[in-house]
Amino acid sequence: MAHLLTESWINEFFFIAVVLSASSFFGFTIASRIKSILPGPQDNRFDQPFKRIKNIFKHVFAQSKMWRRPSIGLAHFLIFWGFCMVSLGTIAFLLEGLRFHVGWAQNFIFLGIQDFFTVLVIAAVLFAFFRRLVLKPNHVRLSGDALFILGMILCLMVTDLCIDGASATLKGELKSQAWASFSLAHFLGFPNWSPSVLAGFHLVNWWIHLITVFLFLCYLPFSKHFHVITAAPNIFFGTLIPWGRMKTLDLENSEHFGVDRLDQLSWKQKLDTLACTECGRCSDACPATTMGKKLDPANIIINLRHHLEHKDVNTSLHGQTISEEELWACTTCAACMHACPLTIEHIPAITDMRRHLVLMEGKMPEEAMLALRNLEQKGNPWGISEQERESWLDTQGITPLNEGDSVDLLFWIGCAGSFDDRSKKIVLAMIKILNHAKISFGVIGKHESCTGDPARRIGNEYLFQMLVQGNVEALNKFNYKKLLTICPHCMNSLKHEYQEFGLYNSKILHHSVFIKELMDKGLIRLKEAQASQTVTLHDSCYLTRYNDIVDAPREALKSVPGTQLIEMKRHGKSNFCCGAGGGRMWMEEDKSARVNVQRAEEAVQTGAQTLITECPFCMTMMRDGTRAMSEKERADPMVVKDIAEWVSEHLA
Amino acid sequence: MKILVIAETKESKLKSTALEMISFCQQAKIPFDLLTLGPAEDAHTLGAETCIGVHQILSARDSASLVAQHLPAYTLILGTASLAGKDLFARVSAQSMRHLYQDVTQLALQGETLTITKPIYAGKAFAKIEVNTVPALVTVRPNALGVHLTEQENTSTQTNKSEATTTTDREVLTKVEQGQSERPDLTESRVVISGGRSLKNSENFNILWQLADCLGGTVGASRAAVDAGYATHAMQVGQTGKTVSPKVYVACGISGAIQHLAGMKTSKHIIAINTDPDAPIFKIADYGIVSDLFELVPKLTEKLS
Amino acid sequence: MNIAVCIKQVPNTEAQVILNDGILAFSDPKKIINPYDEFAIEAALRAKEQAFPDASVTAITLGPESATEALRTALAMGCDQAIHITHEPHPGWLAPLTVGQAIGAALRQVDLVFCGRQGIDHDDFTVPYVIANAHQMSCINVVKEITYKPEEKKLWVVRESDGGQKEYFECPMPAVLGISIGLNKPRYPSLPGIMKAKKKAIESLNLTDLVSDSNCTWIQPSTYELPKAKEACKMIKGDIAEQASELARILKEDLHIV
Repeated sequence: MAHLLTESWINEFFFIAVVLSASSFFGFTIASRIKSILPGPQDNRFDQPFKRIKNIFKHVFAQSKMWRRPSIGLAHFLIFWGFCMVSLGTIAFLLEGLRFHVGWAQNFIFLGIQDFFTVLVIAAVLFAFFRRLVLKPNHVRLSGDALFILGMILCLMVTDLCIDGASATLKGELKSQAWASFSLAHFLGFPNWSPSVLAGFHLVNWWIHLITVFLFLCYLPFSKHFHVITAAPNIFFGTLIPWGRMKTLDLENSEHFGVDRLDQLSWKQKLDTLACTECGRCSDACPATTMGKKLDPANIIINLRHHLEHKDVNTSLHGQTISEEELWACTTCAACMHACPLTIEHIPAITDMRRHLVLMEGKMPEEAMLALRNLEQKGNPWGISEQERESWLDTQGITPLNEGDSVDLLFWIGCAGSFDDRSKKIVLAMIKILNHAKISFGVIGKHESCTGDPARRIGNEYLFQMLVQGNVEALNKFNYKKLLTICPHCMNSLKHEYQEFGLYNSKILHHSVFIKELMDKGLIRLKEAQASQTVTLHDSCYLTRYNDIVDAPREALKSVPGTQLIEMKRHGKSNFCCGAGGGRMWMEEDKSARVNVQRAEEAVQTGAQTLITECPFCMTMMRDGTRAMSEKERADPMVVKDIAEWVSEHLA
Repeated sequence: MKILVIAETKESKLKSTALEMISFCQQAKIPFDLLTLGPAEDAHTLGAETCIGVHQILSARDSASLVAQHLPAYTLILGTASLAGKDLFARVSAQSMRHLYQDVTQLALQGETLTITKPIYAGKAFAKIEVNTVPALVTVRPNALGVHLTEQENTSTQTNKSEATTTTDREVLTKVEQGQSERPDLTESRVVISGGRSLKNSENFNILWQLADCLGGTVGASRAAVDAGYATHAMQVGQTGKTVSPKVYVACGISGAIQHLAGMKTSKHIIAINTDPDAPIFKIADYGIVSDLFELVPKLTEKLS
Repeated sequence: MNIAVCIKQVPNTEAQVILNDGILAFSDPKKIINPYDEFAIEAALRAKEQAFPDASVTAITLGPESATEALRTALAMGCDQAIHITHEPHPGWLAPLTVGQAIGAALRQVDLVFCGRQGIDHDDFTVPYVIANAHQMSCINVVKEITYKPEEKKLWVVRESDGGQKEYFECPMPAVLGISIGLNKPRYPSLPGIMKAKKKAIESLNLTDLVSDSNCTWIQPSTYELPKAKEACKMIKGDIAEQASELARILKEDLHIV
C-alpha cells in the first residue's frame, strides 16, 4: 500500500474522522452484542485450553469441514487466507494513513505474496458469485447479504490493486511493485495517463477502499458475515463434552427448567447464533428438512439470532420465533452439528426448548405423553409388564443373574430386545455368537428398566433421572467388567450419561464392536463363502456421529466370507437418519413424507440383496420403509437383518 | 331366608339377566319376591311369592328409595350389574347403609352362609367372600350365572302394583338418547373389527363394516393400513393411534407387531384371522383362524345375520 | 367454594397376581393412581378454572402410607390442598360404605366432589353415592359431559348408561360426580408443580377418628382363586363354512356378543 500521496490536511481530517467514527460505531455494536449474549446460565468453556487451540487449528486454519464440498471448500480457503494476508496490508494502509511508516509493507516479497492472494481472492469471489447465481446448489439460500459481502470483498481487492498500481506509477516505481498491480497498471495503461488524472484516480480508489473497509467492518455485526469475527471464538469455545451427554438439570434447586426466553440460553448458545453464516450445510444434511418438514436447523439458529437482535429478551421464544412443530420434528441425529463448519450446537438448543415445553407446560405430542407415561408406570415405552423381560428369557432357557453375582460380560438386553418380537431375534443371534465364541455372560432380567434415552430426548429430565437412578442401583448390585448392548441408544446413555449418576465404571460395548473384537481374537469361525452376497449397511446415527463407530461394523461385515458391501451414498458419519431418534420412534409422522421411506429407497437403489442395521429402532424403521417401498413397486421387500444376525447365520 | 330379585325388563318381558337370578333362587330352593322395574307379562309364572310391579318411570333415586323401603323384609337383594343396576344398588346401599357387593360372578349358599365370588384387579384374581351382614345387596354380572329355569307349579302369586312417590328429585332427568343410532366410538365400542395391510384397499374395509354393524361394533385399522391409505388415522389402533379395550377384538390380516398390540392388548377376547400361521398375533389371541379374511368374514357376517 | 376430588392408588395394571399360601401379592409392587381418578382430578381443576375461580380444590385419599404419592401427583397437577386418611395395615380391603363415610366425615363443607367412577381394583362403584348421602348431595355416576351454571348453582350432566344410552340431567349443587373415561385429557404435571407438591403439607387424619369401630367394616375374602391360565390360542379348524359357523357360535354363545 502506498504512502498517502497528498499531505492535504482535509484528507487527514476526514481520514481520522472516518476511522474514529467507524471504529467507535463498530466497538459500540460489538459491545452491545456481547452484552446481549452474556446473561444466562453458567457455561464453562474455558477448560482444556490446549484442546481448544487444537480445534482452532483444525477448523479455523485448516478449515477441515469446509473441504467436504471440495470446490467451494477451496474457494473459501482462499478467501479466508487471502483475506488474512490482505488484512496485513490493510493494517499497513491504516497505519500509513496515520503517518506511521511501515517498512515491511514495502518489502517486495511481501507485496508479491499479497498480490498473489489478492488475485486468488478475486478468483474465488468470482467463483462464489457464479455458484450462487448460476449453479445455485439446493442448500444455498438466496441472500442479498451474501452478494453484498462478496461485492465488497471484490471491491476491496480491486481497489487495492488499483491503488498500488496508480501510486507506484505516480512515484515512478512501477517495476518494483508486485506482479499483479504491475500487470493491472499496464493493462489499464497507467503509465500513459496524465499524472493529475492518475492522482485523482488513486485518491478516489483510496477513499473507496477506506470507506469499504470501514463499511465492511461496521456492517459485519448486522450480517451473516459476522462469522468473520465470531467464528474463531465460537470454535474455541465449542463443546468438548461428547454430544451423547445431554446437560444434566438440577431438579431440586431450579425454579425454571429448559429454555423459554433468551436469557435462559447460555452465552455460548447465543454466540452460536451470531456465528452462523447461513451456509445451509446443516439444512442439507437434516432428515426433517430433506423430507420437507417445517424443521430446518439453520432456521432455528437464524430465528434465534433474529430474536436476539430485534426482540425483547423477555418475550417467549416459543410460538413466535420457534414453533412446537419444528421442535418435535427433530430426531437428534446430529447431522446438522456434524455438517456445521462453525461447530454450532443445534441439538442442545432444540432439546433445551423441548425441556421447557415438557417440564414447565406439560406440552408434547400425545403419543409422546403415552410413551412417557408407560415409562413411568411400567419401565418401558410400550407399557408391557416388566415380568415379560424374564418370561421370554425363561422360554429360551436363560436364567438371570442373582444379586451379587459376578460375571465378565453383562448383556444389557434393553426394551426392544425384551418386548419386540423382531428385536428378540437380534438378541438370540448375539447369544448364539457369544456361545459360539465361548464367552460367558449374564443377564439381569427385570432389574432392567428403560435406560431413559427417549425420556431425556423428549425433554422429561425428571423421568430420565428417576429411570437412571433405578438402573444404577440395579446394575451396581452386580459385578461385571464389560456391559454389552444391542442398542446404540442404550449404549450411548450408559456410556456417557450414567457415570454422573454413580454407575460403576466399566467398558460399555455396542454389539457390532464386540463382534469385531471377537473376530480379531480369532474366536469366531465362519463358514466358507457359497456365493457372493451383497449387503448394504445403514449406519446408526448414535453409533457414527455420537460415538465414532464407523469402521468396526464394516470390518465385521466384510470378515464374513462372501460378503460384498455396497455403500449407500450417505454412509458413515454422513449417514441419513432412519427417523426414530429423539423420541420420534414413539410419535406419529406425516405419512406423505416419511424419513424412513427415503432411506429405504436409498438402500434399495444400491441393488444389494440385504440391508444390514445396527439398532433395533433402525431395524423397525427400515422394515417399515422397505415394506412401504415394496408396495409401491409391487416387488418383495428388501431383506433387513441386524449385523448380529448376519454373522450368526454364517457361523461355522 | 328370603330373597328380593330386582328385575330389569325389556319389551314387557323379563330380561335374561333377571331369569338368571331367578334360576339361582329356584335352584337354591329359596323363596323369593320379584320387583320389576317396568311391565313384565311373564313375571308371575316363575315361582315368585310376590311380584311387585313398578309401572311408572321412576328416577334412579326414587327406585332406590322404593327398594330401600322393602329392604328390611329380606336377607338378600339381588340385582343385575348393568350400569343401571349398579347405579340403583349403589343408591340403595348409600341410602340404607347396607353393604353392597357389585359384579359378583358366583353365589353359593351353605346353610345360612352366603358366599359370593367376585373378580378383582380386572379379573386377575377372584375373591370368595362370606357375607354375614343382613340384608346383603348383591349385583350379579350379566351372563355369569346362566339361565336354568325349572317348571314351576302354578302357585298363585300375589301381584302388587307399587305406587312410589316421586320426590323432588335432586337429579332431574331431562332427556334420553338411545345409543344405537350412530356407530359407537372406537374407544368405547364393545366390539372392534380391525383390518391390516392385507385389506389391499379402502373399499375392502366395507367387508369389515358389515360384520361390525351386524355385531353393533365398529372398525379399526393397523398403522400399516392407515399408512397405505386404506383407512383414516381416526381408525388407527396402536401405540401412535387409539387404545381400545373392547369385549371382543377381531384382528383381520394383522400380523401383531408390538406397536399394534400396545393399543389393543387389554381387549377381553381376541380373535385373529390371518393366512400366516406364524403371525405373532396368534400368540396373544384367544381364538385363531388361519384363513383368508376375504372369504371368511363375509361368510361369518352371513351366518350372524 | 370448596371442590374436592377423591383418589386412590391401585396396583399397576401390568402387574401379575401371585398367590403365596393363600396370600395375594403382586409381581410388581409399583402402584398407580386409579386411572379414572386422573380424569376426576382434571375435571376438578377445570371446574375451578372455567366456573369457580375462587374455589379451593382439595385432593383426598384413604389408604396406606404409599397413597401420599397419589396426593403428590394431584397437588402437582394443581390441587391446592391434600388430605390423607390413614389407617392401620389390615388384611383385605375397606368396605365402600366405610370409605364413603370416612371421606364424607373428612370433607366438612364441600360444594362439588369429583370421584373416579370406580376403583379398578375392586370395582365397587359405590363410594361416590355414600359421600353424596353423607352430605345430602346430588349424585351422578359415569359422567361423560359437564356444563356448569355457577350463577344458578346447577350443573347439566350427561351420563352413560347401558347400550350406549346417554342420559341428560339437570342437577343442583352441591353434587358428587363420578367421572368416566374420555371426559377430558388429564394434564401432564409440570416439573415445578411436582417439586412444589413435594414440599406441600398434607393434612393427615385417622380413620378411627372419622368412623366409629362398629361402622368400620373390612372385607376379608376367605379365599382367593386365580383364573385358569390363559390357554393357548384355540385354532378353529375346518373349511370356510365350518370356521364361520364355529366362530358365529362362539360369538353368540361363549362371548354373548350378539
